[in-house]
Amino acid sequence: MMSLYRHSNKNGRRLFFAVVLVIVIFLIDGVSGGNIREALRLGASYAWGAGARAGSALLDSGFFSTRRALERENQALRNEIARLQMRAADHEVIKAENESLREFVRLAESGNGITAPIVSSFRASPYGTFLIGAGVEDGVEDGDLVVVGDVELGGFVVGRVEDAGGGQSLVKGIFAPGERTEATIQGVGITVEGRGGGQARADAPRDAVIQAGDPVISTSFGVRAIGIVGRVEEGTGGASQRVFIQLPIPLASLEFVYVLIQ
Amino acid sequence: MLYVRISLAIAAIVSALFFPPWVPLILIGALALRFEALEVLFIGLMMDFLWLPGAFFSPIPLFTIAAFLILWGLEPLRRELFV
Repeated sequence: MMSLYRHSNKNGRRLFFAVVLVIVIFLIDGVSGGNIREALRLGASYAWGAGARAGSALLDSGFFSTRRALERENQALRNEIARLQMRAADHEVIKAENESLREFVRLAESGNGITAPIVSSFRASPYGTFLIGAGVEDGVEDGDLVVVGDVELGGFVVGRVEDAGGGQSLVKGIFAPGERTEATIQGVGITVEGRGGGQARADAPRDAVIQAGDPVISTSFGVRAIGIVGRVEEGTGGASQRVFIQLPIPLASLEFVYVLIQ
Repeated sequence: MLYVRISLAIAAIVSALFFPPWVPLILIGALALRFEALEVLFIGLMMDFLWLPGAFFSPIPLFTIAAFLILWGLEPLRRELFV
């Protein structure tokens, strides 16, 4: 009994010191302006790149040739669908914009921007974030918008730079789990709640005419589109209808994004 | 047993980069259940440093806290089953 008590006491002390060490590391990182996390993210982006190259080399080696051929065809078809969906969505965005909106978009389009590679997985983060391969050295700052699609037409905002490092930045997705954004669909104001994986949902008044394919515009992001309506679900007897929103292109198929530098 | 522990820790670190968050969470749970694995805390810390925007506990580092709770919460069960 005494031995068990001593053992438990020793474990408790170790755990206490480990927690203190973790807090000290947090503080050192905070005081140093995020040097530890930046070094970790740099390492992670290299590891991600190496992993992606290794995976690609393995698939190209011919070992999985039959499966690989099918996957390639599948991927090509998916890309084609995504491209067509993106074009259709862009078209809807243009149709939905009125004169004053176009003026805003023209102003936003005149801003500078850079193309940046995505250097991490979209699904690994519990906070709906991902890493891009551009940072302060490239002119990227906290708060810059991250856009996909045809930037000339406004594109779709997928996130905002939250933590700009030297050579890479952490971007928080607009549709990160629990993230709320004010937006409009066909002039109807809604609050979009992110569900992760490029999906979101919102409640709109029952009498609003909303249908699949309608663009979702947010003034919080320079009057730009943040997604399209995927499905509308009308409950029975309720005062609202549930709107399911998605990006017109699957996040996993993205390799590059465009960062609008403010 | 040391090999199992090292393998689980490496798998948790790698999965933090490539797989959905529940994968490292399960590996952390397995480590904490079988070993007195303080490295679990540092894997949680690594997850937060990698993916959490901001500094100085804003927003709350959920993965570090989850790692601590798993480590602390599974300790009595570990002692009962494996010590």
